[in-house]
Amino acid sequence: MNTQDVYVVVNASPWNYLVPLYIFFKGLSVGALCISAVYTVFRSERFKTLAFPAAITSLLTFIPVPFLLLADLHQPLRFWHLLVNFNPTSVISWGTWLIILYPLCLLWYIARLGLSQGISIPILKGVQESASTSQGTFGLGLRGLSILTLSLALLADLYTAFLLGVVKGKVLWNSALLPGYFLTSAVVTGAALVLIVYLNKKPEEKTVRTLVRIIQGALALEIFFAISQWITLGATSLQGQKALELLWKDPVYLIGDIFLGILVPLVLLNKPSLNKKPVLMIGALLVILGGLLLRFSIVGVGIQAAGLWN
Amino acid sequence: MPTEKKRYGMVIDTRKCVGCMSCTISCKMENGVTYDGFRSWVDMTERGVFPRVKRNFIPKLCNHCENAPCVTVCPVKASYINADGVVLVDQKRCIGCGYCIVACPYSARYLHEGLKVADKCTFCVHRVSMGLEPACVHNCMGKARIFGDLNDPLSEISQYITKNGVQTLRPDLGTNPNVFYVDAEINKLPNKGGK
Repeated sequence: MNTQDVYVVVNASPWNYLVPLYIFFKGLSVGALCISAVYTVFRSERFKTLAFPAAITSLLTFIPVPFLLLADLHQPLRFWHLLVNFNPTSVISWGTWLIILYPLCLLWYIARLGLSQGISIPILKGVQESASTSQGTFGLGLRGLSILTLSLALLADLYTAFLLGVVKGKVLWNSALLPGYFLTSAVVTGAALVLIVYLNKKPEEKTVRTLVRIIQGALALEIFFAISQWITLGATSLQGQKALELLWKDPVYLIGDIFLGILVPLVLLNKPSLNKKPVLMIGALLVILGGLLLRFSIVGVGIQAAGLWN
Repeated sequence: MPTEKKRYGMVIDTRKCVGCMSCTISCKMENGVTYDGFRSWVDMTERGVFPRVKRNFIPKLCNHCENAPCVTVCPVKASYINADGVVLVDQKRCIGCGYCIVACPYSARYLHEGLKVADKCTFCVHRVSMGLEPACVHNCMGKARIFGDLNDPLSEISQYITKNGVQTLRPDLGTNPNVFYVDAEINKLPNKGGK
């Protein structure tokens, strides 16, 4: 028997372009911090010169985040309600505190990192002075502070994946793959931005190669997540199949994220060398574009796919 | 014997719905619902192959779920369930983040363009508190809607549920709706030629 919808009401979602932009910028910040932490947490000397610019990149890319969040509220002057009405079952409630604590910790981390590398930051002079004493860092060394900041950063990024993942009846979002997918995308976009920043300084060949290898690895992981998502969506239910259909029909996803954001950069970033600076730059820019488009397609198609079923 | 605590609910007998949309209109008029939002509406589907074709009407509204996803996700506790089991929004507390609107699997919430907060069906609590029926029930020309206390076994709605087999929308989600349907072609396959 054929079924044809003649008249179906789906109340419009109030989420617009600000939500994927918010997730994107937060991911950029977290990804850049992950690169900085390669030196401060994992003690890779090769990333020593990269650690500080990566941390500053992380801070600068975080600046739009609170503004995007406020702009997305239709009652922005009531944002303080978030601080006084904590709902433990709401992912946003937890996320609110994470995105307050993360940048504060990041500032502290940058001050401490600058101090360890002999870089004075006038704006953070007071923080740097207090960070020079063990009381000022509550006994935390640079590594301890890095681990704390990185943990907060990872949680601040992951919460958006859970924010989408716990929504009932949104088959595209209800996936255990989503946090890993978002986090990988965050790391890859952050690393790509750090690569652009670093290429404009005095880059070292070995460091660039390692950074590009991280980007390539993360891109490969993204392909794994994408294909896993396709298989599980397509095989488990009719709802999943319809969502997959919509995803594949979305040029933002297929052409934008998969082709321009993953496959083309994998080719461009192959055999990285400082002689191919412009190619590396274009590759990194495409990776960032892909990360942005991924957020748009996952948020947009996720809502659209659920509209077929209510 | 009815328990002291009320649990309001609604039964919609789709056999009696003619798709006149009086529920949609009366709801809009009663509650000042904005042009681009709906608290109550009627979905229409056509089934079959010519000449054996049937049009189905499925009136929809907030399901006033016992396990309401909108209440769970609201970061400021603006969405809540009152003592009578009605899911409501505290419009003075709502920050308009839209999470509840996205989280509602029934698409029963919308952003009120004027107030800039989430809005939804309230089972016309202002009317019910005066002993009246919700506007959609009062104005239903086919008497397809029955509203009442589900905790009272002698109420019309409880009797109706006992006598007629009822379904709920998306029972797989575990939301435990308090809106029930009789003979509805619900939980259907997606649109555009689903089989």
